[in-house]
Amino acid sequence: MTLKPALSHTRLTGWLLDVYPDRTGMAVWFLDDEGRRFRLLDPYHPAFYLTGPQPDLLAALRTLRNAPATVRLVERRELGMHDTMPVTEVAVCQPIVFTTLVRSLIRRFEHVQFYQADVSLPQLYFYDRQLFPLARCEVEVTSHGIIQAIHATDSPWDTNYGMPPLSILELSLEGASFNPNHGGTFHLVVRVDRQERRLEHTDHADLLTSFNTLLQRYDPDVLITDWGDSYLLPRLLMLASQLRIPLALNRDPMRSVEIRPPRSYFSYGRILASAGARTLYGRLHIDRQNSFVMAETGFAGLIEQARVTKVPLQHMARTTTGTGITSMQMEHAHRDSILIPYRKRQTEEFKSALELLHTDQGGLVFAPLSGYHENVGELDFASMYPSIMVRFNVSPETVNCSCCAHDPLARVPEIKHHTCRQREGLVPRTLRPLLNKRAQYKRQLAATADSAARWVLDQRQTALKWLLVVSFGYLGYKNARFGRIEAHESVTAYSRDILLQAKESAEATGFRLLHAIVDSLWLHKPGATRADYEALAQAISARTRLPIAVEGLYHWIGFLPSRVNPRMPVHNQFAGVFETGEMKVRGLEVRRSDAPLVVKRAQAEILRCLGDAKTLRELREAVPRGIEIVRAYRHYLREGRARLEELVISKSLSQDPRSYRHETRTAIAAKELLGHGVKLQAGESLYYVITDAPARLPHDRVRAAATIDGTWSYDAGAYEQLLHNAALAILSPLGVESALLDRLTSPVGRVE
Amino acid sequence: MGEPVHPLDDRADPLLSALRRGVLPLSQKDGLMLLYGHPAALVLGLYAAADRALAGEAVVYLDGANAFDPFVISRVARTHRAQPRTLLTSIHVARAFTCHQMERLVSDCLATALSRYQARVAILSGPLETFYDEAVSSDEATRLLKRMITSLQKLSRQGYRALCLCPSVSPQHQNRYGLLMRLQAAATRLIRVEDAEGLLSLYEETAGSSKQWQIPRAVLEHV
Repeated sequence: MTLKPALSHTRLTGWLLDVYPDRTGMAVWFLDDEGRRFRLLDPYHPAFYLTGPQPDLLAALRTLRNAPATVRLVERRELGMHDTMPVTEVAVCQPIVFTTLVRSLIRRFEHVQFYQADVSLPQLYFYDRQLFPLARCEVEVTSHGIIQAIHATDSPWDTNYGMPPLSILELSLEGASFNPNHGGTFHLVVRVDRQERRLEHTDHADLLTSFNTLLQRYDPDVLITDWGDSYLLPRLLMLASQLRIPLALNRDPMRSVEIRPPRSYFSYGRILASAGARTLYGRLHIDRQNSFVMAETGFAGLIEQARVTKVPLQHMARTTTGTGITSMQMEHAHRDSILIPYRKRQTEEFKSALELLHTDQGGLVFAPLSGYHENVGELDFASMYPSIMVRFNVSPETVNCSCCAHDPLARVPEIKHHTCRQREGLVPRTLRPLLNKRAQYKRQLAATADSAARWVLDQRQTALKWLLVVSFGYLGYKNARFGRIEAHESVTAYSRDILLQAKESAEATGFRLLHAIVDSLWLHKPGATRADYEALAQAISARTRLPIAVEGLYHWIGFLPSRVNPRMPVHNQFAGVFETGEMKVRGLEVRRSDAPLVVKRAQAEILRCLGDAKTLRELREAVPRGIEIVRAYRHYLREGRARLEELVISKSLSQDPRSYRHETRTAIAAKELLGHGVKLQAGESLYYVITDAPARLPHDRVRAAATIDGTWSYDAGAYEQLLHNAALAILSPLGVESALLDRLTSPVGRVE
Repeated sequence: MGEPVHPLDDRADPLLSALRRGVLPLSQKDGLMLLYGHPAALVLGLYAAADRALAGEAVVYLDGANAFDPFVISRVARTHRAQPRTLLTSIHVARAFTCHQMERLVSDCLATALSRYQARVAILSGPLETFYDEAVSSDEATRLLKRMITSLQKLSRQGYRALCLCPSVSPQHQNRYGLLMRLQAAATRLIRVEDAEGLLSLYEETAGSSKQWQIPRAVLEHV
């Protein structure tokens, strides 16, 4: 590894790998076209802004006299304000002390308003320099590696961008099916340069030396791990510390690995766990098991999100998608000289309880007509909520603006809000390029036959889809920098009106609405062809001025009723087969993370078997074959042939494991792990097997998967019941009752 | 203050009847009143709002627990043969999702709202819930709460009545218990809400008073 190659050129072209604050500027890791990695320094001075009562402001400025900062008066705007206001800009000459300096001021001067005070410095650097992670760049540098000028030569909005030739080293654990923190013995496996190595050292010093050798030999730009944040890197670093063998995880030798502890937090009423983080300097560490975006969109999607949001890759991999959207909004604000508030204090406007009743509603749902239907078409609005925000200019500062209160065209349907028709808001300005770019990717996907290219394009468009999906939630999210509940209410009000318009258009042309959820409609019209559905989509698009497309035509679709009350329709539980043979399933075990694999497999097989049917008649004829599948799986379970991986049930800890009052299966498994010294936190996933469901002693009922040894057995009856429920959900609307299914599939004796 | 929308019928509504025996109507000397303890305190707040609206008063309702339920108000209205719409239009709600918003609502917006709606009563439902956010440091949360309490005390001196409803601090937020203690210390009237053996008990903890009321749990379950 060459850390400081001689800089013989003053102009470099290549790729921006990593950026972080340093003593006299931002450290910038650069990969040039000759494959060299440089640590450069950009003498960049990040700034924050202050305003407030004069005495407090002066006192705050007095404390800055000895700080490494320059101060000047500038004009900036608050979001939604037409006029600028004078604010004090404090540019910090030593970025590494920026956060400490700001925090101490915030603590001491409670009456001073702070802006741009907690924006991550790499992001701020990207905004100011118009750069982004992995940007293709031209840099002018001195012979000491000081950046004189830097600019991107590609755009985050390009769809055909090139990728830097990143060297990647993968690190994982052989034998870890579940969370290795819960127990087990594993081997370290390294994949690099298309080779896989199993590090089988009984001596820890040898293990570290071997790993260090690989790091030095291959000098990876990216370290991709499984369980790197919570298990692998913490243990490797602990060993390195105990044995005093420096571990060369960082490329920057002056930095230590950055550690963020695990935490639990609430989101949308659920408690979630973050595994913490181990991030590197000059090298990027991505933990596949601690990254929503990697799981949903892969590495190509992660890069896409980092490029458009300007959130550094390591952070983007671990943070919420909403952080990405917020970053995009902050960049727009920064570019337009709009102040980014440190803490949002904007409050909800008072409304009467009656108005609240009308405004505080979500999207519109028409309950499904339970049961199976044939020749059904599905129409979906493309990115409905973001499209509404763009089309109707919904943004925190445009809702209930002072200039358009009396404009009838500005009214939001049903509720008393209106949106501005004079100035485009921050949120639509942020979302418009995202919508356009995703549409462009979708067009490229449709025109590409090459499977590898399609795969990348699909990951990229999915990454953008997620950003668009969360953009709505963030309008009402409490910590969103530019959120406002009235904007959130306006979007749902528009969506309800638009869905009603779509329904009216459909019914006016002879279609019957079977079901609708917020932005999707399932329709039936005897004899209707694809062209009829396309024509309807065009008519709805023309009427609502929002894009809607035919998702597909189903041979059949089943809207499956509630399992508790079969008379009750459920809007998120259905299975259907498109004319292409592709199946769409929602709300069933095959899609649920807490169903054991054996049940998922059985249900998937039943669905595949039913999927051969093209009409309702054929569907009913396929029922006996479905029942036969259930019978075979019951036999399989009863004979004790199911493997551990097929039986494991994954559940999330809804509270601190010590706080459980009742002996639920999750609580029992958690207690078992706690007894083994495993540290657990609320929101974390647990993995267990049902061993004896009705056992009197709670600890006999389930076993944590990580503690299972050769002496275990499973409760076949309990798994048969789960299988029965999964099968019945599909088969009951086809006339198969519970007792009949049980009798026909009984492993005890075959009933003809 | 308007005319009562309907004669108050205690027999029709045992919960409201129980509240009226001890807690309602909020008198001027109650100033800053705190009901704390069992989460049902939040429901009692809804009843308190409905009670004032039934009496023809406007109410300003600050919701920090996202627990305002207009359907409860409608049910109370129907029980008392009043138009739900009448009660619902008398209660003016603003929700706070962060402690910064809650503090600002109380310090900067509440006095104006009370004056605009000609209300004498402000109900703060779960004001501390927003202060338990771990993204906000304890120091900052304490500083904001102090400011909020000062504003409430000022309103109380001006003759307004403020009813704060605070469920117990959950185990994961025990490190913020001091916030509830601060609010308790600032309250001019303090009532603890407990649930035991099918009864919801309200204990007066104001200095020099030891009253107690009980509400059958079953009454609340109908809410």
